[in-house]
Amino acid sequence: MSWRGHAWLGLAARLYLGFVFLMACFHKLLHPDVFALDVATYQFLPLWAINGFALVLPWVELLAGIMLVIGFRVRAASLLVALMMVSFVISLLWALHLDLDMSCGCFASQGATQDDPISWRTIVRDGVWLVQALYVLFFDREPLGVERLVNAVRKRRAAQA
Amino acid sequence: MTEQGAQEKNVARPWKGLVRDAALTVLLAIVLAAGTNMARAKPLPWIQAEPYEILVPCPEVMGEATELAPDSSLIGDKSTLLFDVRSAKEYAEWHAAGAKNQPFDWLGPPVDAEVRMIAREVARTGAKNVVVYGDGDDPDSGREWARMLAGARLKNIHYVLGGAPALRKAPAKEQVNP
Repeated sequence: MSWRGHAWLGLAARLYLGFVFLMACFHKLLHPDVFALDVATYQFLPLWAINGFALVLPWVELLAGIMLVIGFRVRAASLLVALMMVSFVISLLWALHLDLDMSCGCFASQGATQDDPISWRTIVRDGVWLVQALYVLFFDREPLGVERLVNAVRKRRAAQA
Repeated sequence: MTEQGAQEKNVARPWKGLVRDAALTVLLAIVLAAGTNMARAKPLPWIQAEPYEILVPCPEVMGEATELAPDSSLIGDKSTLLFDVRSAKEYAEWHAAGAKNQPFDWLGPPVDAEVRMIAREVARTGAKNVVVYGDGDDPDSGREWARMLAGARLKNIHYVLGGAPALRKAPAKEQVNP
């Protein structure tokens, strides 16, 4: 658990995941109404929950993405990413179960039907991202980034005082 | 509390801080979502009153149908069932000789009944092939219908490449021009 390489492997996983989530959130932030329709198409959430989910999820993605990239509260961010990935995988399995021939809506609207269609490949991809998030959560105990830098400066100042 | 004390507490209950940070992040996301939504010209209601009109992509099982050239001899063959899947109006304007009209509605309800009807027709006539032609657009309604029939496990399903326009231009076979 205390191997120093975890921090570097974790950094690579974090940067990758962080950019994936930053890429994923922009369309949803700009067009929450379209994203709400995408969510409704899954026929998974009850009607009352769809708009709230569509409004809040992109912001969680944005914040988690930024936190992973800059290295601030990394484990909390990776916990959120892992929870989101679990929910996405369940939704995708649901869509496959219903045999819905649709785009996953992960990075763009359902309108782009040929873009990123739901398949087992999509689920495997999300599964890989889930494993990455869990790796960061469980193994990257001293993540490289802003928070570590600030803590190091604080400790140095405390030692000098 | 000293820094050492805080660290000991974190080691003892590592998940508490983690869950707190995650919850605070979600809370911040809710505040940001509410703020930006209020700033929109047309805010999205937090609770949707009317059900969404979902254009659910069709769950029909699609198979693969064979492509036929418009001048294929199979089209006029007596052992072939020929279907025109354009609208009744287009069918009335022109259709290939012997073609039966079976309009295909992209947004309509599932077409299981029609597929069963064609299966019965194949069984009744003993047809060896089923040829479908549509509007020839992209996507072509004829190809989609043919794939649906193939998906329903009907054998020897073909569609005419280019649909009715190509069939109309093809070297004259017996064609009907009312």
